[in-house]
Amino acid sequence: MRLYEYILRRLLLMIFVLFALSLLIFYLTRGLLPPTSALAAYITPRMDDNAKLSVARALGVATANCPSYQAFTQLQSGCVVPVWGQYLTWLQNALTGNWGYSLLPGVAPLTTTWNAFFGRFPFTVELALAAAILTILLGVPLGIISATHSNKWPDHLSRIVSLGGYSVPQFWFGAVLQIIFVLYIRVNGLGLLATNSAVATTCGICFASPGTVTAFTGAPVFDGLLSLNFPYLWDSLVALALPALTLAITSIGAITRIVRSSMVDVLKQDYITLARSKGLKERVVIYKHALRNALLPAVTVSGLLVSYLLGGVVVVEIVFSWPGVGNASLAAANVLDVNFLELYVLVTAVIIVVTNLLVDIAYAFLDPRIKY
Amino acid sequence: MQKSSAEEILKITNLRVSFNTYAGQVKALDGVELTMRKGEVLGLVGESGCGKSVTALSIVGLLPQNAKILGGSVLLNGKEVLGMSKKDLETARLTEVAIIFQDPMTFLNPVLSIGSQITEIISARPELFTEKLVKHRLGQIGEGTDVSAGLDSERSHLEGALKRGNLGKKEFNRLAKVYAVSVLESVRLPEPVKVLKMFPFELSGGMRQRVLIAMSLVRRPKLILADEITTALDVTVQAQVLQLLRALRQEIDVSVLLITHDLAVAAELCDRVAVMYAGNVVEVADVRELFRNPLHPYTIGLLASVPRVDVSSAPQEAAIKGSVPDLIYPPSGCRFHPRCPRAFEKCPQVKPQLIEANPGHLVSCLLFEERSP
Amino acid sequence: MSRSESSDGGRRDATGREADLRYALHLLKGNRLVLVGLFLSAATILLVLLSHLLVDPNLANQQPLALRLCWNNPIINWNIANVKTCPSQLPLGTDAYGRNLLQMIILAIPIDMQIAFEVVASAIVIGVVFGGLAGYAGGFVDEVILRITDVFLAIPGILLAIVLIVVLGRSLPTLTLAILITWWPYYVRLMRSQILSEKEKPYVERLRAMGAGGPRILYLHIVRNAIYPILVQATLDVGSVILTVSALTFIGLTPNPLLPELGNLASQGIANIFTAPWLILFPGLTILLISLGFNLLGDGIRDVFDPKLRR
Repeated sequence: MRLYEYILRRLLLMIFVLFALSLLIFYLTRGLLPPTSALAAYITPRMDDNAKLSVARALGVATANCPSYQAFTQLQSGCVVPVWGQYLTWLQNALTGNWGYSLLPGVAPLTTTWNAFFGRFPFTVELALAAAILTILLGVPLGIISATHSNKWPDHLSRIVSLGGYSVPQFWFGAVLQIIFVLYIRVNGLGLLATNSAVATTCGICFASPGTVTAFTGAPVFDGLLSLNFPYLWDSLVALALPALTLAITSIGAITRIVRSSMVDVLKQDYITLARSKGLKERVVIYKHALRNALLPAVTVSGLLVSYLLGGVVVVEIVFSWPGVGNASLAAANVLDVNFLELYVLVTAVIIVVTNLLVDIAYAFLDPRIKY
Repeated sequence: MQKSSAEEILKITNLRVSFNTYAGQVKALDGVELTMRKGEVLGLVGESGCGKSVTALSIVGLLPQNAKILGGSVLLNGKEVLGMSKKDLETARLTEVAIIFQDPMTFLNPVLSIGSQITEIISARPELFTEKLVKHRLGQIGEGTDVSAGLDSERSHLEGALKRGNLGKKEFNRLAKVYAVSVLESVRLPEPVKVLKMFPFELSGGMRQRVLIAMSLVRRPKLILADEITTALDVTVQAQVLQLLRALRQEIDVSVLLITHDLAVAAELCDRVAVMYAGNVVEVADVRELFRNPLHPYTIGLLASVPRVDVSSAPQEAAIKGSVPDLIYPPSGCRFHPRCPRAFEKCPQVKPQLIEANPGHLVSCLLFEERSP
Repeated sequence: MSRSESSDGGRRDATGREADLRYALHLLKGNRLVLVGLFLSAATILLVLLSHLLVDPNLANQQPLALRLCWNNPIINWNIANVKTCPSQLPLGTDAYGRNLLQMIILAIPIDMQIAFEVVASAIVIGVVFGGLAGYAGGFVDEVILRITDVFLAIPGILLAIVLIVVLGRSLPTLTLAILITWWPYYVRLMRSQILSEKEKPYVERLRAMGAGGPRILYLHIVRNAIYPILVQATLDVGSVILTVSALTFIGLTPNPLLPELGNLASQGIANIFTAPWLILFPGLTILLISLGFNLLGDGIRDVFDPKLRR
């Protein structure tokens, strides 16, 4: 089938996946708990029963015919909306852009879930992108060097790094980095990377006042870059360094392994012998002939890595107190903020599915044997 | 240090190569002696596993990593290949010797276009395409042939461009492409311009083999090693490739080492034939002489086991008894003695040398050692 | 090299099993890291078995708060101000409740390993059953199973796990279940692709032609050959599951704050990271060593069994 048919099919699949996911999350959060738990975050003890009932109705959990709040809590028939009905209400709201108000502790009252989510989202994107860039910039060359110097010291070193990165608990690695850079490496009496926010407020090696920054994207690094405010940009990069490295360490380990093993496989192939027999320089043999083939498995796995990075942000953001959505998702789960969780899951799913699609298309371009 | 005469394009002396494997040391080459004259086609025949390909790989320095060269000398046009520096090896591969492999499906890079894989040879060492060299090479093409006519425009292009001095990168690339087309033409590939853009998996086996041949011709080597190039092809395509080789051989003055296990192929194309067994060259002679008057018992057995159409008597499958020896623990003395119908008590003790039994007819067998001058 | 000549003579195809064994030993000899992995994994399992003999489990429930966050080990000096010194020497200091950290770690290892084995074993079973079904039956069944895995693979597992644990309540079984629900799709996919490639192999057609008694026997033959990568992946995953479990308890989804569990211990540590760094360093180091051991072991098994690495 032709390329655009393939893309179309994948997009339709994505829509199916999104619906299924939203249903799954909804069922988990509303279906497995008694209906009263959905109200828990909204009602206060001072509200009277009628107020509570109207909240229950507004949330789509209690039917309009329900006589009283008591009847509702006793789960009398005809009083509680079945889960799939609740889902339909929620779906209707969501598709019309109504994602309710945020229940996250610490946000201003009457902040919509949408704003609460997308206010924090750029920080997570910044973190994930930085980790992805680090993964490619460090992992791929390390894998290549490891394969071309097989069994010599660069290989051993990179295997240790890759194995270590793959096996290390991210929260531990983040903690170790913090301990080293905050506690032990000090500049001007201050820990070198002492930060406790997404923008370093005490940066011992920066200029004094950061100047103005326009919030183009909401992510400090991009905003600093676009506003041409270089002290601010520097501060943000400094703050980004440790969390990004922590997030990236596992995928660096994985990519190095994959690139190394597929390079080693490729270098054993007959066409590499032929390329050498043509009198080509070794550099050409490796970068033109071997790498094109060796990167194919690595490209295939990048879809998985995006999924992994987006999952890892949850822990890393908590360890570094990074103001992103990963951090917030835990709080949202604790208060059963269905809207936030749904939004988070669906946005993440879209990113992952689209990335996988792009990866597959890229693969088709790189490998002429694949035709869609 | 061995010396070679000016007429010898290749001189291999006492080449010993072994491989490290998990099962032990495989002593693949046990003192190979081979000499090739300029302009001849020498066939190297033997069963699978006798060391033919290993010999070829040793000439271009492409032995696998677990190979160890224990000793000997390989003189390519007078220059010692064993122990050559990487840079010199690369130059040698580009200008002196080319190897054509069998089984072209795995020997062509699947993700690069044919054109890319050919023009890169040309672009690799532009400085080697000096005016003098190119003129010399182009001059080696026989006059008045099809190939020569196809290359006439190339000749003038290259000469003209080189006269102007440094070629710009774009011009050079364009020239390289034109040159590649002309080479593909010379190997009788239909629609060579289209082929340049295609990928290996889109071509048939015979076409891919021709591409491999073209790749070796591009750099006008003095020696071509053709390693079992017809083995992976079916019979009709085999015939075409052989015909092509015969034609090219008449047009271009190049020496060919034709490695094959198929005696019929050797008989068709070669001037001389060398027979290998278990890591040694056991007999070398002119092709007609070898088939008419084989001396080594192994050769005799080989020739006898080929079924013949013209012999009316009941066909006797005179197979050589026994099987190919284990090269980790090879037989002592003459490696053929366990299977040899004429072995005597000296054979397991002494390794025979390659000596001239009759003029131009070399054999490595103790049966002939007493008679040698 | 895919040449018609083999460079290792004629002995290559001697007694199959003997040659396999020799090759395996040859590989292991050259790969000392595998031995390290073997050692670490064996040590871990040993600790699992001996844990309750070495340390009394009830110690986990005690809270000698007077001894909170103290350190007294002459070999390691943290060079931080205000480190409390314990009255007596302890190898790894105390945690936020005053318990001996080394003892807590020893008690924690079996808990983490139990979850890991349960998850991996269940995932193998689910993978073999549903992946095998999908791969072998093909058609509609395959399509349905594939779509279901698509849904689960579209989000990072940890999100789903968090929601599940919050909803189902914090306990060890829900922790195990939550991780299992995020893990099984990989095994189904892996088994399915293995079955698909096995199906193409010539021996399957031979078996069918011989009338090898129906789909069930055929299934067993194919599964027997397809299972090796699953087992390799399972060994590697023991380490990964422990990483996941500890991450989940680290962020607060632990059943019980006093539970001796590696991630839980580390979460106490993050609050005191600059005043009592041992509390996060040592539990994390334990996780690292366990995970490293199983990763190395899994790599070694894969190197030995991978047919691509044979010549």
